[in-house]
Amino acid sequence: MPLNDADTPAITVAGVSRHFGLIQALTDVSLECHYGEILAVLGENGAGKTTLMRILAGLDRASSGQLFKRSEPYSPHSPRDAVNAGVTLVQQHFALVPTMTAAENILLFRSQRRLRTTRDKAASDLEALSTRLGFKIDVDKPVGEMSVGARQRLELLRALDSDPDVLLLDEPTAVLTDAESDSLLEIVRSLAHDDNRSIVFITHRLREVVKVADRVVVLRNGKVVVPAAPVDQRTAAELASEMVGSEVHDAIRTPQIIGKPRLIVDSLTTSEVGPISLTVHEGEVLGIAGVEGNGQTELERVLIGARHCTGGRVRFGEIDLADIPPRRRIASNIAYIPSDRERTALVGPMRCDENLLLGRTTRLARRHEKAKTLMEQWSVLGLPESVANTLSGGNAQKLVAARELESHPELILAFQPTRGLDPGATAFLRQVLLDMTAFGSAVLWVSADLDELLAVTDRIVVMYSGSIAGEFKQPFDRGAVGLAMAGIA
Amino acid sequence: MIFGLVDIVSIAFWATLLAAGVRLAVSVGMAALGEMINERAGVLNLGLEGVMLIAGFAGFAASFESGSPWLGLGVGFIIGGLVGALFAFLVVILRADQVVTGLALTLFGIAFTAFLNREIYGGGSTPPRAPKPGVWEIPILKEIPIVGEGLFSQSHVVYLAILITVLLIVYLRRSYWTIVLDAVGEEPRAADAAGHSVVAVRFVATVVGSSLAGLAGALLIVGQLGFFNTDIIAGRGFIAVAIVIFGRWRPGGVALGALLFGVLDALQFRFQTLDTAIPFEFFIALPFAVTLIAVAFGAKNAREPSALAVPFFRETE
Repeated sequence: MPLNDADTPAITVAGVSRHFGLIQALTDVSLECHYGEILAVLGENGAGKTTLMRILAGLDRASSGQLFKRSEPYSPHSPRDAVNAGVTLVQQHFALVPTMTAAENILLFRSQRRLRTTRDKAASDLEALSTRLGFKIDVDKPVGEMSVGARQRLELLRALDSDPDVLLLDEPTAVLTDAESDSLLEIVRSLAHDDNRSIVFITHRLREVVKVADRVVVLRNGKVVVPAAPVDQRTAAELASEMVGSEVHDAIRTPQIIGKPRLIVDSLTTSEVGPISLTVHEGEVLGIAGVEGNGQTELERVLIGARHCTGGRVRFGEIDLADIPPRRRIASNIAYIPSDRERTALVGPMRCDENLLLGRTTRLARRHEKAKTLMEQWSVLGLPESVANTLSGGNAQKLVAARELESHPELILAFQPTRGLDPGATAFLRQVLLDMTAFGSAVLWVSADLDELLAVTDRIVVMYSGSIAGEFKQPFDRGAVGLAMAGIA
Repeated sequence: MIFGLVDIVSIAFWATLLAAGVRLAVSVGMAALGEMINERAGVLNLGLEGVMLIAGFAGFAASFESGSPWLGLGVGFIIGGLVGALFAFLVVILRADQVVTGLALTLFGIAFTAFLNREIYGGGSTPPRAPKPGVWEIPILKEIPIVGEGLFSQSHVVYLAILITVLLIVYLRRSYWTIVLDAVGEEPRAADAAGHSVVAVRFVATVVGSSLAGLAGALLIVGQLGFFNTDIIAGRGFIAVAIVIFGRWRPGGVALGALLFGVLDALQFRFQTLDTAIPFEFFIALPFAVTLIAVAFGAKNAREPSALAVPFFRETE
């Protein structure tokens, strides 16, 4: 059982940095978590939370800086090292084998010295542990047939099987309903306060921070922007603005004349999202804000006809968009800028001029000449005959824009159009998309970058947990949008 | 045709058919069990045919030179493992494409053994013969109607194959290793997070599976035929891959699938002796065709290991 030692932190992170090539994922992060305490690490996607957890759990190494476990230097080389040191991680994904039963999954994680442990022993241990924590689990059911809530509880049991004194939880409630996450949080609270474990809890949901955490630290762009402070001294609004940042961006969008409705999404539902209702008008830019993973990808797939919806309609004139093949979508003059740039937007090993023809025409003649003009016009740095893979991210996206926007489409579905691009390309793409509205294009602009949406859109709807959590009009109240994104409407 | 009709209804016909079916199932079944172990770890080995040929030829050479078929079987098993280690090095450690590497191994095996056979044994139409293991007729049990002849009046290699199959079924059902094996094939990231080396498990599984495939080649060539000919495996390696799907990656199902193929193969030999206008090639193709149809329809809901033929990279983010 964990020792009670109030003054020594269970786990200490001292000046940890991590970079992947040129990308700086973590910069000089320091924090500590004591026994019997829940420390929340709050931040948006890409803030570096998961990288930090992976380093603590032995799945990744820090580029510089040190870790301490009860004041002893701690540098796990593998997940096994971490478990032996009493540190276990509950990951967002991939930690359970769906074809195996709960008991077998526990067995998989038991260390070598307990190799002889039988399935029955694992099953009875599991039952005893779950009973103590106050819920039931079917130990002989394949994990793939369990509800996501049950699976998440099993992940927790799996992590507790080695009796760790430090438990790392990476967005444990990301896929749960509110009721399910409440019951999980209740268990987490008792693990810290009754069992005296040290719990580091990663989340982007403010509601949960306020509900269970003792202290909270805010990460943004890989840096600690607000050092750990007791949660009860902070307000939700403060935390929300610290999480999303408060750099001032001038709106580059000037009010436009808005015309008739062009895209009408009417109570759209699938097994994972909905109901979603929204309308984009002629000449209007509608932004969809939200932390990634709140249903934006599902929405994208339904809008382009790659996934069937279980209810509702997506009307574009006389057409139901969810029902038509890509060829008809293109023929109806609808542009699509995919979020998965590498795999969906371009064929990497094909030439630029060939990529410009994709879905547009079957005529190969004059492709080179046409591509040359188009690429000059859209300032794509590259040759028509060079392979798309050789373009920089910004130029590749310009090439996509050139193909999709050349015909002045009536509707533009833009998903994360500027993500990961350099500032020059970002500014260029924002400008061309906005210019399109002057020709009457309706633009649906999905972005995880709130600052961008505040600057370029006429209206913003916020997606949270698969449905619309709020709608905002110019001039935007940044704090209110941030709260909606964090699930506090 | 009269001869055929009378024959088909007699008990003796069925008893002989089953006995021949069991004999013909032995090699393909052992290869399929080996492939099953590979695939459950996420490694697709289409080089099975090549492994069977190379190991089978090595086994034959050992048996012929020493006069001991048992030595030949042992050599087949070991050479199978060594070829498997080479394959595992390419696809597990260097992460080469499993389909392409496997097919290359098969083509290499066909050509390489044909070459060696011609150089060493002349490669003529009357190949030299090596001694075969004896037959063991179990008294009383062999008198059981229909199944007696098939199960209790067979060559020693048939009993060996049945013994290995039974041991494998029991072992896979009880062993901790099965859980690790399946985790690596289904969700390698979970196995990795649990502290098991995905690369090591896949390597070992590939070597073990190929050893069984090597033994399978030797069972046929050393244990049952006693001679070697060019391309003597004749597609049985690929049938073994199909049987794994038919058997839904379970040893019992795989054994059953192999028996089905064996009985069909025995049946087509009977058909060939009938006096019909149908060319004999049609009958030779029959068991292969029926097996493929059985796989296509019988295993409709079967799900292969999720990570089959997918190389493992530990992600950085």
